[in-house]
Amino acid sequence: MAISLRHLIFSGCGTPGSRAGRKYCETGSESAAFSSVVLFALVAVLLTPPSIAQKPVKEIRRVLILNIFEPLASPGVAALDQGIVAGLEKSPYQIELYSENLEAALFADEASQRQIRELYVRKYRDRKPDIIIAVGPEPLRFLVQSHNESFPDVPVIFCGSTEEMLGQLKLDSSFTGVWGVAQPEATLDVALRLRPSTKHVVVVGGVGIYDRMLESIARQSLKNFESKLDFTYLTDLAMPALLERLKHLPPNTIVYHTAITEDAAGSHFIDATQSVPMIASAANAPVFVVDDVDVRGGTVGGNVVGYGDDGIIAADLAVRVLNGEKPENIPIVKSASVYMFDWRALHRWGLKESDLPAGSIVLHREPTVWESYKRYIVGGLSLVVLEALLIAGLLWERARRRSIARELEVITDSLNKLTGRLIDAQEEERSHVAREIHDDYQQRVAVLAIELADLAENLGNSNGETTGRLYKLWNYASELGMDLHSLSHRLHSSTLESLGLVAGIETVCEEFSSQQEIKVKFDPKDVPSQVPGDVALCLFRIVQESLRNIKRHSGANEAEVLLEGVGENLHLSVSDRGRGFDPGTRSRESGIGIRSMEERLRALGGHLQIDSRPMGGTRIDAWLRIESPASVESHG
Amino acid sequence: MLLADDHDPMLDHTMSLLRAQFEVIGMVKDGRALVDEAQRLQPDVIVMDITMPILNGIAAARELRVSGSPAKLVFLTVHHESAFVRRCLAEGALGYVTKSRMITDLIPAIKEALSNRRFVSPPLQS
Repeated sequence: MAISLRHLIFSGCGTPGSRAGRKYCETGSESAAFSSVVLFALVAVLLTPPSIAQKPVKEIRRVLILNIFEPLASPGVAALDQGIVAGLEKSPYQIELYSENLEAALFADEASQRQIRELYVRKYRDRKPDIIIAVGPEPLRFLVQSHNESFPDVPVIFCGSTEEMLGQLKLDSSFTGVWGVAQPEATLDVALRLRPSTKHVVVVGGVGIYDRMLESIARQSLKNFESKLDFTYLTDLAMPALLERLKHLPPNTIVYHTAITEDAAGSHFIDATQSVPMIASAANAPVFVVDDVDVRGGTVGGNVVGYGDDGIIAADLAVRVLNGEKPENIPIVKSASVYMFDWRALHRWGLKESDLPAGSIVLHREPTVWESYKRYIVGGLSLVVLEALLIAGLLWERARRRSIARELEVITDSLNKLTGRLIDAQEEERSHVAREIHDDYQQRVAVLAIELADLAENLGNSNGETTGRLYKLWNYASELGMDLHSLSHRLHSSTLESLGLVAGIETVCEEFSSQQEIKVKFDPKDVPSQVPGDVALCLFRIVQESLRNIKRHSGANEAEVLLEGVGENLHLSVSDRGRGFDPGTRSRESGIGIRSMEERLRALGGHLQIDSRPMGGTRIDAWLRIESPASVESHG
Repeated sequence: MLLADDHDPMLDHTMSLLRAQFEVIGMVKDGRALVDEAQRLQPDVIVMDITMPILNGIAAARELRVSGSPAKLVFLTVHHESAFVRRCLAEGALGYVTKSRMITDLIPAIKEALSNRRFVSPPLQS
């Protein structure tokens, strides 16, 4: 910030048309004062909204800010000035801003101070400010002492001082402002709470005007602790000697830094940015400070005077006075000190943040991993959890599916076995009934027919009518015998059993052709002579079922049955050119027939393929493996 | 004449029908016994059923044919399917008579067989 401000100022020097700028650039000795003017002029210009130019011209009020130090050389003054400039924006007037400083650090001797003060008195004799804002104790003391002669009737607003710094001087009715409150005792209280083992307190300070003022306040404030703690005031040393001392402090020591704008050797320092870091890095003990601007460079902090807010408060008071209020009617404000600490220093000295007073401001706290990456951690964890849930869900689903698949497999397997057993049982029962019909009833009917025929033969023509009736009965008995045979055959094919698969299927085809008026062409090729009974029966039933379906559904008048041996497999094909069907929407009735075929085949390790489409005929192909193919069955 | 049928009443009827004209030298009730007795007794004609225990008639006929038996074979059966007729004739049978037509067809079938001619009960001829 300081660098960029400096840069702004030097740019300002070269700006053509800036009369004041030219003048002060040429007179190098007054460059510091000039810089302040240009800085604030620039700030004022920058802060003025462009639209104002178009509004009716406002009345001008001159505000002179009289600083104790050059703001560039004092972060405290700079903070106060910034607050003032910001606060003045609230004024209804066009503020003409002047900024001067008493150089109370670099030109602290009485003669210089007199010259500087006289310069300003002369400078503003013909340009009387409407209000003066005194920043720091020296400008305030100067104005208290001389304003009646130097700046008569000019109200003064003050800030950047503590009441103690005024000493014996009294404010008159032209003054109001804000007192900073320095509470070294509060800082020491906190220090003892943070470090209960503390035995020694080393107060460091310089010989400058401001330094001595703070030292005086500290001595006064810390008096009450002197009975309990060992105090050492290192306030009359040259900086190198001081730093050396600070390197070798005894254990259980804390350092209280007031201010060092000038050391005993006459060297000048910017306190906040030069002295403070040197002290903090040299000391082998924690360093506590007075001002908020000093909480830096390795110091711990403390109960500090907050200058930033005081500038704004002072500006508010100034605006009120500019608006017509009398300073005497505006009570002086007391600034609230704040507890302010640097987290890094607390950490370095092992001081617990939990021991700090409530409401403490902790600067530069390194965010924890959690604080830095909270969003990412929460997001990441959420993702991980979500993913884990998803994985768990998928695993559960997979396990469930596998379990179901296993169960299904078991169920299917037992269903297949059951189906096989049912089919076997059905076939067995059919075979049993068929045998019963053949071996008993058919034989008895045959005997009956024989008896009737015999009787008819014996009667001859002796009794024509009776003989005729006997022949009729014989015919009737013969037909009954054939019907019984057909029934027996349907239940269990004796052809299949006695003559083998080819003859069995051939007979079925012939019977079907003659009974159903559908011409069935049977074409056996390379069929082994010995086909296992269950395989033969299965294929035989498929032919029966397929032909039944053709009759029921196809409307075809021709069908083809192909049975061929292909290596170790038997291939059966039943096809027609009928109306076909959509295999996806097969009717319940035909579905059951086809399913029973599939089940028969599956029970024997074979498979079925149905190829059909509406108006495109139907073809059913079945494949079955024969365990041990024997010689090819001869036929024809 | 050798008769083979596993059904006693049928065997009795066949016996009573044939004995007036032929000498029945044996009766058996299964295919295995049929083959054995045919080789032992050397009948001129064997009247046999198809469905019989142990060995069915067709298998027995094949064995007889393979063994060079000169006996004429006439099947007397309830099977009326043409596949049976074809198979029996293929196995060397000369007669094929359905049991219900025994009275009218059996003796003509035997006689035809003795003359080395085929006879098939009329309803089955095709």
